[in-house]
Amino acid sequence: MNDKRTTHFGYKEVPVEEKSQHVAGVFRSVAPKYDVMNDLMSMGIHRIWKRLTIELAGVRPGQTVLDLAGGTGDLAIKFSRQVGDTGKVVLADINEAMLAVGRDRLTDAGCSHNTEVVQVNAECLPFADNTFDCITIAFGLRNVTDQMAALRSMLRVLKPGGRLLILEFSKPVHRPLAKLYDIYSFSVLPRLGKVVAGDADSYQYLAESIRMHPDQETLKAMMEEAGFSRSEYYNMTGGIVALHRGFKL
Amino acid sequence: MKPNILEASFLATLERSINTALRHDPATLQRLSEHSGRLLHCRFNFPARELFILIVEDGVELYHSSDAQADVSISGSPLDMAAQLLGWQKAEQLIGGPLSIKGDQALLQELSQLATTLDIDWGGMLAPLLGNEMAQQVQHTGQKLFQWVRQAGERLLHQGSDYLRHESQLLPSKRALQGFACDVEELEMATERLAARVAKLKEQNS
Repeated sequence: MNDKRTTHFGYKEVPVEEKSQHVAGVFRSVAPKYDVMNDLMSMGIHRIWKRLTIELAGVRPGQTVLDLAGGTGDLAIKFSRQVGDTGKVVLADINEAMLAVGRDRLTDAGCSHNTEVVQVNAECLPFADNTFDCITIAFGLRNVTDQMAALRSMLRVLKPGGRLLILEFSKPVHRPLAKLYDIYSFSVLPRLGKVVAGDADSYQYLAESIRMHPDQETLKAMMEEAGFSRSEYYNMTGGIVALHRGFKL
Repeated sequence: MKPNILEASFLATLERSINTALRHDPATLQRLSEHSGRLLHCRFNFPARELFILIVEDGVELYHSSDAQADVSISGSPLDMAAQLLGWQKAEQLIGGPLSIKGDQALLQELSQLATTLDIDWGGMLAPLLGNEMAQQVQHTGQKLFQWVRQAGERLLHQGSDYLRHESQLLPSKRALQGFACDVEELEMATERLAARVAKLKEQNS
């Protein structure tokens, strides 16, 4: 009898310990074209979603921010400018290929003076308790194998009063939009990935992983279970994306 | 604050336009970047909105909200703020609304100066699309047109101001407005004095 614990990787079931390797493979493959593909896939709207995340983060000069699964550094650059010389931003990702792109972008944007780039696993963050004023994770949580462990780890490293913001694909709230979105995700997206990034499989995984990710209410309940207070979420673009926010009180 | 995609899109477009313009005037961008890290807070009366402008190395970033302490805060109508920032001296006669400014006024003055001296290289911006010669022509024509529109606008505001204040007397003159403000202040002080005397008399009687 096979008693190996499994988890989902898109629609496939894989052994728990192998998921991170599969995800790493996906992101290694898409890293060079990640930003171009994001712009193409979302028609540029991902920039607006991230802008709203930054506004809701309410970061002030002198604060310490962790941008988890920060990839190519979109959020970290903005935070670096907001926290100023007296603050600090840590750009963290499990994938070295994404981090390499992110590190270069931070340097090009003149943000290297108050940023650090760290390769971490979100499930066991290598930081002291009560370190960060704000943690963000944008389009990263669904790739984490044990999401509850990751939420608990984030809560641990947040300072009391600190907040976590999770920007992630979610469940469209209108049925016609959901149908259109399905057609787009499974017909257009993989083809776009093949043409632009030369990798249809990774974008097929993207569409599948979105469907397997907890919906708005489930993720909110998970945050509360992990210990976050005043958890709430905001649907964006009809619920295609949701921004969850919770506080450590 | 509830996220609003439309407002955020508008702000993103505005931010991109400003930064694109700045990239085509490297001298102004360089002078602006000397103020990198400083934050301006604009509070508009109508529509009731807030705008935070963070100056960064490569331009500006615009936000609807910020928990940071702004270096300078301006309150008033968008038109009055534009007049202040772009130095529309003649428009002031018509607009002339009160602008409340708190904080580093020197920074505001410097930014106003930068805005008025902004010299965008439209030719350079259009050259890849139209070719050098055509781009220069477009730039030349555009500059003339812009100058004409600006002069015409200023004339219109000046004449409109004269008509509204002096001929139709629909708007009060600046002097009449100041006199009215003085009268209101005087009345306010007299009322406060009266209230204080009434309170004192009540205290003596009890």
